[in-house]
Amino acid sequence: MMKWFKKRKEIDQVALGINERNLKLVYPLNPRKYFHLADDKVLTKAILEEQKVSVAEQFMVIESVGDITEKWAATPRKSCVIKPSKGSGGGGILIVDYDEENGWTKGGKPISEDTIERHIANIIFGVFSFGADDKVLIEEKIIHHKTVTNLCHLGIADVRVIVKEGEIVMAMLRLPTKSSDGKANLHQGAVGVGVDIETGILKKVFDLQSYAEIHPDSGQQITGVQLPDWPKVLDTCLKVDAAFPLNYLGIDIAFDQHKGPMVLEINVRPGLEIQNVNQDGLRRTII
Amino acid sequence: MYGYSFNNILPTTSYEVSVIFDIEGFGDEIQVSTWLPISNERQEITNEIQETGVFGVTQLNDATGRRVSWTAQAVTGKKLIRYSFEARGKAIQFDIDPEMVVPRDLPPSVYQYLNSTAAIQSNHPQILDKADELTGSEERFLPILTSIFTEINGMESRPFKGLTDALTTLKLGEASCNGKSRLFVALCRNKGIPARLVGGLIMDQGSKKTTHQWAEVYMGGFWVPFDCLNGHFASIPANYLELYKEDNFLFSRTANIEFDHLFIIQPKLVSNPKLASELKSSAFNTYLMWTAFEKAGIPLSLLKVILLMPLGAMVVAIARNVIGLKTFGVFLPALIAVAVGYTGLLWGMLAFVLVIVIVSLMHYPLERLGMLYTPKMVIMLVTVVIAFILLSIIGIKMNYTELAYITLFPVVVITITAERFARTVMEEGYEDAIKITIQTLVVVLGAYVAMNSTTMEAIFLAFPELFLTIIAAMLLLGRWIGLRVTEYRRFKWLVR
Repeated sequence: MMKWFKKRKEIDQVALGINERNLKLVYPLNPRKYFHLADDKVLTKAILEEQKVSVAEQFMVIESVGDITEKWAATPRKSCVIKPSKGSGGGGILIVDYDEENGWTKGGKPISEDTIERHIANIIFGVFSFGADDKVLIEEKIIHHKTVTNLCHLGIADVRVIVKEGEIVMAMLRLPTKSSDGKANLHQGAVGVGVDIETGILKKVFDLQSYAEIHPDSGQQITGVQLPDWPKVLDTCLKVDAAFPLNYLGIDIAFDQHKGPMVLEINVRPGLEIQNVNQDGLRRTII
Repeated sequence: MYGYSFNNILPTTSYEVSVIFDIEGFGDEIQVSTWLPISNERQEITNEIQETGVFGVTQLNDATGRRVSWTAQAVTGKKLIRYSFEARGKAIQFDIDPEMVVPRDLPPSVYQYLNSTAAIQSNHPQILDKADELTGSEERFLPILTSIFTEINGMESRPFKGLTDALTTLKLGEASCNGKSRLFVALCRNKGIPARLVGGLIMDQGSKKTTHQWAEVYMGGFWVPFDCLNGHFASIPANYLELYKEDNFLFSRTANIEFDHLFIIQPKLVSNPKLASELKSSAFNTYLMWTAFEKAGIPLSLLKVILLMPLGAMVVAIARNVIGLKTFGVFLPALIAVAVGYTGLLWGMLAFVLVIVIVSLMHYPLERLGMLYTPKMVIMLVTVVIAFILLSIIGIKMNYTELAYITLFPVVVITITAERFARTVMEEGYEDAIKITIQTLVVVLGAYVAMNSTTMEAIFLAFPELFLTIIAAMLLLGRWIGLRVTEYRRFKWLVR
């Protein structure tokens, strides 16, 4: 009983909960009127490009159902990522590949243009963005840096960095797994890897159940690996922080083989699971 | 302070009482007599129903109460008489002036309650000795009654069957309710205090054969109750139902029958009948609001829902922000709780689960058909409505009419629920959707209990200013930075 109380008290001291995150960080540091800058990925990209921050190349934006056929036909026949501009939690993201021989494929299996267009329509109808109408963002598919592909072959791996008022606070690498269907969302089965923010060296792998040193699918050693271009990642994050009137951000960055670190999206209500991944509480940042 | 009494606003307990008589005759004329309860200042009898079958009924009111006789000619075989009513009782407590002295002069009608009888031997020497031993030359009511009551209340209680007279009780030093009450009455009468027996029923949930007897003492123009068995001094509780006065058996019958009886008692909480009139006389007046709504033709049940909605919303807020439960939408659980209020808890919960099951079953086939979101939602809604109507029809056909209540589950709530569920399935998969469903159900249950409590209803109707306390509580909750209960589990990894 005493032990239980003691443990609760210890958790209280280190863990940042949703209530406290909202009241002490999100509301005071991220004025609501600027939320849309981060929630609308098309807008985010425009601001970042202006600040010379590296982002994935934008192929097409589709805003109304009537334009789908025409605009999809005008989209380059290249492997691409189709996502809702206002989606959250990785929902509604469709990654398709293209080559002359097989046409459109998704994860190696053929996918019809009808299915793709219907997905685009669903995005516009707001299925992935809490019912509000949405835009569709079609952008280049990132070619992962070989360090990252060595760690995991599926989907988009990215690093989430928490920045508070110009200071890098915590970071984790998110690796898709078979059970996450290629998505980098921890609650959909992806695993998180703690990152030493000074060096960019990977710490332990967390799958919501336990900690490990290897990838759950491939068995590839992960702990101890050095992430590529880490100083540039940190520099990019600070640039992003400076570009927005928002001061508590979760910045998602992918590693492209040729273009280096690339900002995927920014989040004004970054999740709290990163604490478990790093086995380190975020409360210290507000004390 | 508020211009009304709290006791007249809080809901009261009402009892549905049935008395069932099993009578078997052997060809002769037969008769069963008993007393039926009378409404008075402390008990209210409503919805009386007598199902007497072949028996004719005669009623007669006298000093003992309302006597009823059921008579039938040439009865052979088993017959049933069923008498049922609703009773609402009030606890009563008299304060006795400690200086009040036992008077010499009494109203003429009361003198009979000083008589010694065969079972209440108030003039017997042993009773006299006991009375002297207990009270000496004391002449004030309070010390006399206290001594007698304490003595008898302290005696061993025994579940004796049948009649125990006062003297036997004294000699044995133990008795059941009727023996103790007779001894109490005998000792009072010996001291010149008019006293009598009262017969009735203690209304507790369940079925029983046992009746109860207690005593009444005439004091300052009132008959004041005493129950030596259960220790009620100058008081009786709300669940005492009075049936008759004086030393009688509750049932009498002709000897030529087999006879059995059973009381079945079911308590229920009902809103106080004085609620409206109490509120009417208060300064801060919700009653005016009620009458205004009534004039506009808006049903009062709707007003109740509106008034209690904030309470349901508060339950949702606490469940989400303090406990950390996930629900479909912010106010949806409170809305579902309102819907459940119409259908009843069981059918409401069933309807909710049914919607979820139907939507889950349809989700994948429709997804494969490659349908756009909104038309797909409409198809799901139509299916849910068809299922509800089918269930109702089946229910009615099979004579299981409660099943028809399911159609009362409001369609709007169905739509929102189904839509949120389907969306959660798409965004986060079945597992999460089902987890959230279960948590939503828990919160619905909490909101339902809060919103359907008759006590809460009465309190909020009487004190609408309590809405301010909800605002105050939410102001506190809105600035509360503590970890949610579920987060302690979530972040257990941070401490080794």
